[in-house]
Amino acid sequence: MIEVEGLRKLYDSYLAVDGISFSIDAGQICGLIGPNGAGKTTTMRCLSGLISATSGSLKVADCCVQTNLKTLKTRLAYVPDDPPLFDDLSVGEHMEFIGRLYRVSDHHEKAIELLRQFELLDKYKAGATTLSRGMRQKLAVCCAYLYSPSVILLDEPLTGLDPPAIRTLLESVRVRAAAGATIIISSHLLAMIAPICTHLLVMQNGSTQYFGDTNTLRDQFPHAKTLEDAYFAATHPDASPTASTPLSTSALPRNGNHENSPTSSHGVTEAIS
Amino acid sequence: MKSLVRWIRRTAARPTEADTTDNASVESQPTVESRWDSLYIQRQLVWLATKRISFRAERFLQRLRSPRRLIATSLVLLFFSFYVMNGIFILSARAATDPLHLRFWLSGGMVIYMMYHLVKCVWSNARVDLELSNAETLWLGNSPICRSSLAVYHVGNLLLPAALKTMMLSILLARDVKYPLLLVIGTFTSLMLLEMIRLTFGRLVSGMSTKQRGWFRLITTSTAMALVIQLIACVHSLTPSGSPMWLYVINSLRGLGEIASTPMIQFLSTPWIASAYLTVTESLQPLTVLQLLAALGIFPLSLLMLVKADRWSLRQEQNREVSRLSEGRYDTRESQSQRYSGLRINRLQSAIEYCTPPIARDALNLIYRQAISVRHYRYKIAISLLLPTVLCLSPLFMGRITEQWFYVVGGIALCTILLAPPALRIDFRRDLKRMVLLRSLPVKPFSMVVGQLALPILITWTFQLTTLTITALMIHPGWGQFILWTGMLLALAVVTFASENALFLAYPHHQHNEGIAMMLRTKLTFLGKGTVIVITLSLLVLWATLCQNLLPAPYASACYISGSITATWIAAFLGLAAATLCWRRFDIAMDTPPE
Repeated sequence: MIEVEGLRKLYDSYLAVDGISFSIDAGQICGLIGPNGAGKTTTMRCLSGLISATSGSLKVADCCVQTNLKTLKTRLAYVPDDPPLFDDLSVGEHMEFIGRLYRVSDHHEKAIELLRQFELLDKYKAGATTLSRGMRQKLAVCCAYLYSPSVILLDEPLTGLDPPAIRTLLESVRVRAAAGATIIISSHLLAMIAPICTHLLVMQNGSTQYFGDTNTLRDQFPHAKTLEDAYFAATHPDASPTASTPLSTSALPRNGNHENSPTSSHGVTEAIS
Repeated sequence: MKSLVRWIRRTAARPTEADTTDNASVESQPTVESRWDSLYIQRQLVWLATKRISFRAERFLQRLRSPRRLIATSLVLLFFSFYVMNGIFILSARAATDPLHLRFWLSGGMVIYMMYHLVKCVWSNARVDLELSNAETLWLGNSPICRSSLAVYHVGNLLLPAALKTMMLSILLARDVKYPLLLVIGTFTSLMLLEMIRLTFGRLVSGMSTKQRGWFRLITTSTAMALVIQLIACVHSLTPSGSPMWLYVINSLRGLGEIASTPMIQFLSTPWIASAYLTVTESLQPLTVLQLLAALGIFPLSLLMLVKADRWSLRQEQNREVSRLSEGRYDTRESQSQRYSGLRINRLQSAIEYCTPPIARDALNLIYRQAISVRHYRYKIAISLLLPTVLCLSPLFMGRITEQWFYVVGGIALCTILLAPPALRIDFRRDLKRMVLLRSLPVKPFSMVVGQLALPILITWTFQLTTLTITALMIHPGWGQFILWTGMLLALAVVTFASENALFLAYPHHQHNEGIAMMLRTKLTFLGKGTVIVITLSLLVLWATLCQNLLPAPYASACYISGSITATWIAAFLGLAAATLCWRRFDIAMDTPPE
C-alpha cells in the first residue's frame, strides 16, 4: 500500500510537487495522469526513494520512505520512462544481476519465463545497445517483475511498445494487482490504461486535481463519454460538470490533508464550479 | 574507523544468512537501517564490475581488429612499442634521480595536482553525485544498496584506469628505484588516493551553500595563486636574466619540484607520505612493511572519508531544500509563467538574421544556439583563456627583444593547438547525445560544420588577436611580421578545431570517458599535434629559403608572407572539408559509442 500526505518537492528554486495526498491499498491500480510537467515523475521518484521529498509523509509497502529506504527498495520496483540500461551488459546479464541482488530463488527460470512472456527471449545474449526503445522498456519491466515487488511504479510504460506488448503489459499489471501488488501507472494513453485502473490521480501544476476511484470521476462529469473526456473536463480551468453531484468521500484523501483535496481552493471543485 | 569496525562486526554477525531468499515475504523492519551493506551485496557489485570489464575488454579487442579503425590500431601499437622501447633502452640509460627528490616530487606533486582539481571543482557549477552514469543511478540507486556501497563500487571502477596510469609511470621511473614492485604499489596507492580525495572534495563542494562555496573558492584560489607566485619567484631566482626561453621552461619544472618539497606542501601531502617512502625504498627493513601497511591502510580510511562526505553533502542539500521551502523562496509554474509572459523577441538576432545571406542563415542559427552556451559558461571560458594569455605575454618581461616576438607567437600557436580545443568544447564534441537531432536538421553538412565550429574559433581568434596586438604595441615587430603571423595563426585556429572535430567524428567518444582508450587517444593526439607543428615549421623555413633565393629582394618578403598565409588558409579549408566529410560519413547507428 501507499500512503502519501502533503508531499512537496523543490528542485533548486522550483516547486515541482505542491502538497499532494493520497492513499492506495494493496491490489489497487492507480492511474497517474496529468499534463506534461504536472509533477508525475517527481512524485514517482519521491515514492521510490530515488530522490528525497522536501516535506510530507510517505509510507510505501509498510516502510517510511525517509527512514526505511533500504527495506522499501526490496519491496518496490520503479520503471522509469525510457530506462537507461548498462551498455556493457546483455539482456540476460541484466536479469541475472537483478536476480542476484534481490536474492531471488530460481531467478534464472523466472527470468526465462518473463523474457518469454514479453517476447525478449531471443535477445537473451544481445547487448543492451542493440535494443530498441520498446525492448528496453520491456526489459526494465521484466527486471522489475523478477523479484515480485509489492509496490510497482510504472512511469509511461506503454511508450514505445507495440500493440501486443501493450496488451501483455496491461494484462501483467492486472495479474500482479490481483496477486496483491499496489501499482501506480503513469501514462498519457488514457484509453489504454482506463480499463485496468481502479483509481485515478489527476495532477496539474504539481497539485492534485482529482484523486479517487474511476467511477466517481465519471459521475462528476456525466456528459463525458470516456475517461479521457472526464480527464479533460477535470483539468480544464473553465470546465464545469453538467450535474452538481458533490465529490464522494472516496475521492477525498484519506489522511486528512484537505488543503489540496478536490474540495479545496486548488481542487477540481473550484475549477468546475 | 568506528564505522568500519561496526560494519565488519555486522557482516561477521550474519554468516548464515541465505544467499537466495524470496524477498517478497520480508517482514517490515522499522529499526534504523545499517549504512553499510553485507558482503553478499559487495560480491554482487564485484560480479557486475567484472562482467562490465570483460565486456569492455572484449569490445576493445574487437575494435582493435576492426578495419574501420585500422589507422587508430596501428598508431596505438606503434605508440606502445615506442613507449616501452624508450623505457627500456633510453630512460634506463639515464642517471638515476636522487631518492629524496623523487619522494618529495611524488608526495608533493600529488598535492599540487590536487590543488588544480580543487580549484576546478569549486569553480564548477555542476553537482557531483559520485559520478554515476544514468544506468548506475537507476539500477544501483534504486536497489537495496547503501550509498556507501555505491561509493565503494565507483572507487572499484577507478582501479583499472589507475593501474594503467601506474604502468605508464612505472616505465618512466623504473630507473630511479631499487624495487620495481614497491614502485608499482607506491604509485598505484598514490594515484588511487588522489582519485578518492578528489571525489571526496567533489562531494563536499556539492554540499556547500553558496556562502560556504564562496569562502572555499576564495581560500583555494588564493592558495593556488600563492603557489603560482611562488613558482614564478622560484623560476626567476633559478634563471639568470636574459636566458633563452627553453631554460625558463626547464627551470619551471625544477621550480615545481622545489615547491613540492617545501614544508607546507609536504605537510599537506601527509596522506601520500607512506606511498612515497615505499616507492623509493632503498633497502628492505621492518619499516618497509609498516610503510606498506600504511600505504594500503589509507584506502579504507579515505573510503570512509568519502562516505562521510557523501552523507554530509546529501544532508546539507536536503536541509537547504527544506529551509528554502519553509521560507517560501521558490517559484511555481504560475510565477514562472508570469515572469516569461513579457518575453520579447531578440531584435538584435532578428536584425543579424535579416542581414545575413540566405546561404549562411543555417549556420547562423547554429551559432546562435552555441552563443547561448557560451553565455552560460562565460566566466569559465574567460578564466581558461586568461592564463594562456598571461603565459604567452610572459616573454615580454625577459628583456631579449629579438626573441620576444617569436616566443609570444610560439606560445600563441602552442596554446591554440594544445589548450584551446580542450577548453572550448562547444562544438560537435559536446553533442554526441544529440547527434540524431543534429542529423535531422535541414542543414547542409558544410553549414553544420561552420555553425558548430564558428564560436570556439571566434573565441580563439579573440585570444590570439588580443595577445598579438598587446605584443605588437609593446615591441613593434613591424607590419610584415604582424600580418604574417596574424594571418597564419587565425588559420591555425581553424585547422585545429576542424581537425579536432574531424577526429572526433571519425572516432567519437563520450565526454567523460576514461580508461586506456582515452589515455592513448590523448597521448596520440598530442604526438600528432607535435608532429604537425614540426612539419609546419620545417615547411615555413623551406618556403622562406626558396623565396629568398629565387626572388629579388623587394618581392621575396611579400611573396613569403602572402604564400605562407595562403598555404595555411588552404590547410584551414582542407580541415573544414575533412570535418564536413567526417560529418557526412558519421553513422549514428555504428559510430555512437556505448556510454
